[in-house]
Amino acid sequence: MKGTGKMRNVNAIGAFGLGAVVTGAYIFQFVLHELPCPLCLLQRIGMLGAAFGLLMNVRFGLRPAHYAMAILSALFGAAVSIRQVLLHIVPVAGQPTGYGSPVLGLHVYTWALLIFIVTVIVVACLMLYNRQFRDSRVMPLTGFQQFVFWFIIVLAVANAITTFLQCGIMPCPDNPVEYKLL
Amino acid sequence: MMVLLFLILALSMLFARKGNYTFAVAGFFLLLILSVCWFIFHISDPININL
Repeated sequence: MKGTGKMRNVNAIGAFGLGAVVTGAYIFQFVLHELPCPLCLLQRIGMLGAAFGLLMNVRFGLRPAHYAMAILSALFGAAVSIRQVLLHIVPVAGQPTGYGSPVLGLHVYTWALLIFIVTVIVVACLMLYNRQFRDSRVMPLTGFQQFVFWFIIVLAVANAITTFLQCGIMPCPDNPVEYKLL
Repeated sequence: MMVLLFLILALSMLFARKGNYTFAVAGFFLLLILSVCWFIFHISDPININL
């Protein structure tokens, strides 16, 4: 069915977009040498989890349950972002505002909150298209869909490795400045 | 702990890639539950703006 194939591609593009945002976080980590805090890592998990929900649609066919997984993950990420925004909402005299460098005037966790909100809205809008659920056959992955799948898997593994180097197996420090194991 | 969460995510995705639906979904919800627990642990800490 043509419409179903299109929707699977839309899901793959959405997952790729979320993966691209997590890749952007790596630019902060490796280029600007700003190591991620525990809440930042939880936001990355929320983003990759939302991408996982969308990829379930690509791999196992379009189902409302898969969209629900993406929404749940995005809501979790939004809750973490809100927590971090609220921690820094009151400026302290003599100290720089927020945590980390701002991008286009907003801190990274504020951008993350906006992205999670947009994710919830977009996924809810995708669910409005009822016809996609009529054909829930499992179809072979196209080249682009394979690429997105491996992209997100590699991101998850890379995050596991860099987090291990940064924190070891213990809880991550609140304000990390160096890799514990390097 | 955070390493474990990323590993669970990667494993769930690999299971999904291989076509094992049950393990993929179970891994996802395990990840979500553990992440929420970890988040609550952080919230219960005294206010620390170095996060």
